[in-house]
Amino acid sequence: MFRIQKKKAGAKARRSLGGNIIIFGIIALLGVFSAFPFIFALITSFKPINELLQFPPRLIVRRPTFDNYESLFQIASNMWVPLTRYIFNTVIVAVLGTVFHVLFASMAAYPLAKHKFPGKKALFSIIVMALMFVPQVTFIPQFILMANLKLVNTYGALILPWIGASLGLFLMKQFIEQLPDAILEASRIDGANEFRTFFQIVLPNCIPAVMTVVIFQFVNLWNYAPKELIYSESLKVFKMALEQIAASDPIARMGAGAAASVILMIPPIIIFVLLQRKVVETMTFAGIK
Amino acid sequence: MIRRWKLVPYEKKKQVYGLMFVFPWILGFILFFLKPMIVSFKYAFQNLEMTPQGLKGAYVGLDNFKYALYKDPAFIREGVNSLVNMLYSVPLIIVYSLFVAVLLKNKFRGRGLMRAVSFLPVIIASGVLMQILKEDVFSQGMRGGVESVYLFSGGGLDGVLTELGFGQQLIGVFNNVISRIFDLTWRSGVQVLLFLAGLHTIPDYLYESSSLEGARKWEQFWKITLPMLTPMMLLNIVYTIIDTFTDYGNGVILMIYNAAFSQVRFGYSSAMAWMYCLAIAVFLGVVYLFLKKRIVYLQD
Repeated sequence: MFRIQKKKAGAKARRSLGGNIIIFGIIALLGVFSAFPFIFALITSFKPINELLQFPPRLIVRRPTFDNYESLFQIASNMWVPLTRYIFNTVIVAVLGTVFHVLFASMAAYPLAKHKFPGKKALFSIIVMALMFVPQVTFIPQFILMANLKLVNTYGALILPWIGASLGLFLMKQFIEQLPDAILEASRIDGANEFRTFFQIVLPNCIPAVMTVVIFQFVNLWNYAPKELIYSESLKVFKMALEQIAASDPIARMGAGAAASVILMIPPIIIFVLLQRKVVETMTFAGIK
Repeated sequence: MIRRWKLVPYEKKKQVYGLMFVFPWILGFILFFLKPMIVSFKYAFQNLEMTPQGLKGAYVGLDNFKYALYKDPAFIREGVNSLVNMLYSVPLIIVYSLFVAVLLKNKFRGRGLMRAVSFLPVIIASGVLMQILKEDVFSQGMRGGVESVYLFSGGGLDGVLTELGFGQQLIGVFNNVISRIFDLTWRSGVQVLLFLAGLHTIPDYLYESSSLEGARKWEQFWKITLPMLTPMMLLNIVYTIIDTFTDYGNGVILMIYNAAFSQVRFGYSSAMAWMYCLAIAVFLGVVYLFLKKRIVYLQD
């Protein structure tokens, strides 16, 4: 749209094949460490029951089976709320929570980064203070508040608090600060009001930042399952249901638990793989003529 | 009304717009965060108890604070511990994640996959895996936290290495090194992503013109990449400090949590939380003032 574009940088110095191999090697080595828990869960989920109970546990699976996944779906289909309902709830909460948080946090971040208004400094220190505050302590007052607002056991309890969460605002503010004032001035001179400047200049030029916050928030919300706030079965999110399945019999359902955790990890990974490309691509093209 | 709005000077308008943009967020913030924070501040001065009629408390002045500072030996000790821990782990995390981010910025086959892999700890750490596999011996230590991750000393890798014929001592060293690296990768997923985003905001022309002038990669890193990354560096340092201080495995956090939920002493718990928060704030303030002058913004 109104993103300032420039031609892609010309041919870059080519690195030798050897260099590529070294870089790949280092990253792969470090990658093993990061991926290990996931791989471990993946392997565990394919283990038959006798291998699951083996001690010490092995890293390899002798006879891989799909039993764990089958039993997971069997347990799930026996529940009186269908599994799709849980997934639907999770998607609703994750998507709406992400949209609200990203939209309002970045809207608030823009003036904090680029405007002057009374109380700006005080506001920013409160935000940083809120970031540092131990969330567990506000937990009980927050619960009482939710109860008073009649939000307990509604989607609202899971979604609405994210409107005022400070992490996204903090990140967005730091990113927007780096945006050159020149583009903003130019858009104002061209007659765009602040709303237009924000939605058509600031946001498109900050896609990497927005995507970063989206990734955080989505991952965060996907795994967000405060049991105290939701008690009716039909409103519970996927994770709560999976925990119930796994927790009802931790030994016999260990395999099913691992299968559940693998399934649960897949959507955030997909989101990350899809969006990280956006984090990269846009900024390599954006710049100043 | 509209005509009068047109007469308002531009600077004034900007202020109004600014407040308008911040307003929805502020509303949410006050309602869901500020209010509970103030309530917990009130609790800090009370001896709150759970009674059949609900929460009841009477004003006790500074008793909770005094108790934490003078009577509870664990509070100061854990506080100092987490400070020392932070002093060495934050630089390590920053250097490591910068290193990984610079590597991941390179173009190579499978880059997207590798980026996803380096972000995996974030997905897992906040994920269900930790809770579900709690019963599992192998992942006993996997709940993360400052204490280091015991994943590799829990028998899994030991067995594999013994099978391969390594000596006991060598395995010990190996385990130690590995669990340290593991801990590091475990806690720097977010930082890597932030640095990556920061690296991509550096315009290409800086590199082009510097390479025309004959700068080598090494010089480019110190003279362009690093200075241009300083805003992101500040963000990352602040994030990492907060993250290490508020980690679930942190001693003080555990104390605060236990005081509230196993001992049901909400007042004491709130008092500790507020003191801890203020201590972090002071520390962050010092760091921020120290780093602020060294930040480079691209303005042209």
